[in-house]
Amino acid sequence: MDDIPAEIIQEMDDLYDRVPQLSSRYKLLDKIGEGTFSSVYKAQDLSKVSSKLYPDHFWDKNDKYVAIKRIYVTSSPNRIENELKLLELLSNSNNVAPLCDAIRYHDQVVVVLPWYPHEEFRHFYRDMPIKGIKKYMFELLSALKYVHSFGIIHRDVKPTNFLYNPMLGRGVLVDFGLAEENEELYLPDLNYRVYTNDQGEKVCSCSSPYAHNKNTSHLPLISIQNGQLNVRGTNELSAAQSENSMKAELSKGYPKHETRRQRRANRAGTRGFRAPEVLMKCSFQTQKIDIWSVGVILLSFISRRFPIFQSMDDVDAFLEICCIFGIKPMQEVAKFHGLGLDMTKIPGFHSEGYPGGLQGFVKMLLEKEVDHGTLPEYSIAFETLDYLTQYDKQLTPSLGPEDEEDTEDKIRMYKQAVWDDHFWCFDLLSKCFELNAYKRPSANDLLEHLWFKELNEDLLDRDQRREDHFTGVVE
Amino acid sequence: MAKTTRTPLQESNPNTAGNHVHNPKKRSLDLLELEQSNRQKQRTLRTIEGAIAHAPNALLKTVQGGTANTFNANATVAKSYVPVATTTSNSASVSTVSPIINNGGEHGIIGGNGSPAITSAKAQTQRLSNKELIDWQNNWRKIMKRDTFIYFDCSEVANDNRKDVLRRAFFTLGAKVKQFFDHEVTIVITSRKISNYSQLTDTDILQRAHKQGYMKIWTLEKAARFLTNMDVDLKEMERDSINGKTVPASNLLNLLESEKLFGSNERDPKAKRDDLHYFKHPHVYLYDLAQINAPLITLEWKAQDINANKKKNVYPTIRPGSFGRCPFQGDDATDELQPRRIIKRYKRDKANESYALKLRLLYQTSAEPATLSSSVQENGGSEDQFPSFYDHSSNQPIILPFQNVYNNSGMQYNKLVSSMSRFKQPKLPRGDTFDDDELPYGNGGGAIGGAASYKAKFQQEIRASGVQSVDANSNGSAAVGNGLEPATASNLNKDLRSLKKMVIERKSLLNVTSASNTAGSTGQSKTQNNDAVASVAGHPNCTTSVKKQHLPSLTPQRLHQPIGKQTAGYCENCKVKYDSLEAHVNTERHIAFARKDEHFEGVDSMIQCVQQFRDINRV
Repeated sequence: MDDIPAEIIQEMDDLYDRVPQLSSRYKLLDKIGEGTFSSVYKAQDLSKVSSKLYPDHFWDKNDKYVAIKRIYVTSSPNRIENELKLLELLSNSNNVAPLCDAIRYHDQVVVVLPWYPHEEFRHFYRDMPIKGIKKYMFELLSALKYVHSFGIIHRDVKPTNFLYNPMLGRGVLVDFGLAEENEELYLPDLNYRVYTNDQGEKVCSCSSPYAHNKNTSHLPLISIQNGQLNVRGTNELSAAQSENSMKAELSKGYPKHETRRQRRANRAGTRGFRAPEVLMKCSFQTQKIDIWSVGVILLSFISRRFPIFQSMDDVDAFLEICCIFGIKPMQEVAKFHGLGLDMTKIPGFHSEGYPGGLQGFVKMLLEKEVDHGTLPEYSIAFETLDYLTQYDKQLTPSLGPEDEEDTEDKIRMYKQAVWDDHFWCFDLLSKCFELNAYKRPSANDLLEHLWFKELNEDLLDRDQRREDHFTGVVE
Repeated sequence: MAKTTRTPLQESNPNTAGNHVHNPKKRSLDLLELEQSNRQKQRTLRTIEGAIAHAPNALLKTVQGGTANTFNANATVAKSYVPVATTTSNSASVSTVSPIINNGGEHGIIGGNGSPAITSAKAQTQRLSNKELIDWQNNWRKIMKRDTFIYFDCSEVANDNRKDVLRRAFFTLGAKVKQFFDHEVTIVITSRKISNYSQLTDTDILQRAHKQGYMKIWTLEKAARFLTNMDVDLKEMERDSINGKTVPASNLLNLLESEKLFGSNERDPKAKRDDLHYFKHPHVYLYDLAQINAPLITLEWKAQDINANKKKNVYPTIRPGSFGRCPFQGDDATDELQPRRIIKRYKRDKANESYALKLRLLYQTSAEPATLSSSVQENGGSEDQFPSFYDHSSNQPIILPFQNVYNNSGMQYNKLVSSMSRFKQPKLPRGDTFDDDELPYGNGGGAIGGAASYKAKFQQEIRASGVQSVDANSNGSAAVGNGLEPATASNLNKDLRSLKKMVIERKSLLNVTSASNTAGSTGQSKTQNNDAVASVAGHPNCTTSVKKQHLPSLTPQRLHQPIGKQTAGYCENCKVKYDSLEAHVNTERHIAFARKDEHFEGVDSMIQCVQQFRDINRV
């Protein structure tokens, strides 16, 4: 305890004071994190009950510590209850931190979770080999598959909330403080969130007139023409016509004194990780918003940049996405959500997206690093750059090594694997970044992706072995 | 108009039924004459009015609650005191409002209860002739049509459609509703109950209306009573209001709002509108296709602004930079080709090499991390407690020969050394401080001891925000404070937006500099101990197992600053912003909230669940 700064000790003492029951069960050791809504401390589990509850979650069998999350007293009880409820519900996965204990004294609530010996993202994202990235994504998507299957959106998927240990290849999703549970999201088929409009196009339900307040939906239907009142119904055709011309006018400019209400939607999350539909304030958000965040993390890995988006605010975030993916695709997705997008005469934006797509974007970023010599000699990023400078020369990846016995030519095989993994990695990346949430694949879909073939086979093997084991017992 | 006649009325007053609707007699009554004729009856009438003064309350409740059944009964009641209304209303003075209310008080015993009021009122009705009623109605109809301007002094309250109902009702009488208060207004309808106008401030609308003298001030109840006497079917108005139905040719408000939004249709549709801002310059406009909601983004820049700010863009563009930086941020002022930075980077990369190579070995052949040989473990400098197996073949990772020779930190360093060796040996920068951009990326980050590293670690994190936007959504800027605060209005104007951004940028800049300042003092110990860096990085427990150094060099005021503890923020429970968390938590209001167990019932039941589960597993 000598080497802990005085302020931290003071903070921990304060926590003992605030929660008198705490000291009999746990001994606070250090502060290990601080977020928007909580601080996290590492502690010893004096009664050893917490560590017994979920043995698989205590990665280090010798040092079973717990993490104590102190939820700030400024959080509403409803928010805290929601978090506790979700943690309780999600306590049956190796990839989600389960709730070991919870204590309240007055307004101070502490939540006890297993402590995970993990590594910070910024310590390994520059050096993680492609197969290591694959394992990270597999663990993360497995966690999300589990969470999403309960009709829960995490809403705050980012490296800080996914505790990962590269040595073990294990990761757990934490922090359900912003998570959202919705009965409707239980349904495996989220088709109800899309409907076909008058023009026969599939659009998001958030653009439906029924999604809006009834009292205002009639507004555009009334007009005065030549001193005569025009209401849809009495003079339907001309009313519709004038309505359209009026709307056309409003697409060229905006009222100087805005009287209309703002579009409303949940946009809880972290800047830089918000999906386009969140930025467009879609009122029918789904689990797919988490998949977008997964894409942001993967892009960080493969381009060796963190963070990817600066996004000082939602407008900047929107424009940053436009920079990479292009104005036209953004217009399409805006339309899907009932919005019009006009971006004209702005230098620096490509209408079709960054030249060469995500590959071109990553290549450019890596080349800039090479220009400045900011990557180390041993950098694994050169594999990616090498792949990107020649990937158009080979059209299809191989589907795994053909001759597994060929240990002589280890380098050739390794090279082939690097190539394949990169190919599928970029494929998965583009799928996570599908702008249209409706078309974006689910965590479940992505886990079936060819990139994860070897990991899925491992799982099958393990299941097979277990099955063999059991049948053996029976015999 | 025919709609305004109700069946119950026709039944109770067969003579008058329908008459007023078409206004067949069109008698032009002098107001004074009417008043005089009524004055004689005033005493009696006042009594009647007193008796029913409370009935309108019930009536208004009907308007609020939507229980339409009581409406007819009340209408009959209201009808009985019509002549009184005539007297008071036509006397064209607000002062008459108060006596009515007072009288209501006197007779509260009767009026307080709905049904006795009805009975007594019914009895009184007999005394009033139908003719008088019709006269009164016709007279008011004229006034309403010709020169009535109504101003509503009511704040819009959710789930309260009283204002809307009244607005609809007055519109059927032909009255005009004013959006703003001005001298044209003749009737002010208020939701407030004021008995003494002198208490109001001079700027208060009611006070102004009162001073004008000619304006009538009606409470919502009074207005409802009046409308019922005019045989306006409030019940139907309410139904329309709830269904959001527009009353053809009647809903002035909608017309006004439509016109405000879309412009008058009398204008040339091709002509530009004064009330719209048209884009002339490069712009971003994200708007609702249905034009129901306000636009999400309205941004516009003059070409010269864009060009003038080449270095610092006015909007986000790709500025790739290097060294792991955000592709939209660029390297900015940092020149990565500076000798000082080249040397530092080279040293850092050297220190990190064994960790990077270990990662390569782990994930060389499989996405499942390989179990590594002990020699590699040692190489990584880690005292790994996890079981490991010796593997002869995996001591050195494969490094592919590449198509091109890629410039890297080692080459940069060698170039620098060779160019400088002609003159002198390159000197390592003194103190070898760490600056801002090394903290987020450096593998050594965890090795910086004490408060500085805590501070750096906790503050570099981009935090969640936008929690409250379900209710008060915004395009607003990133989280300042604790992120719980409801977001402010969206569509901030450009200046305000950039101001807000500057606040955030400066905030993070301050954090970074303070972190780097303190890091500077600890940097020495860090760089002296390169092995430690590697071992830390290679250690699975690295984030916390690092031995932290004491920092005597830290300035006292920095020590006094609570680390990372957000001082300013928003309390969801008290619904207030605070400057100091410490101070806020000790306010009476917050303590009162904290001590009430009822607030935490949901939380407690969840905690109970967990405790039961623990109890089962205790054995």
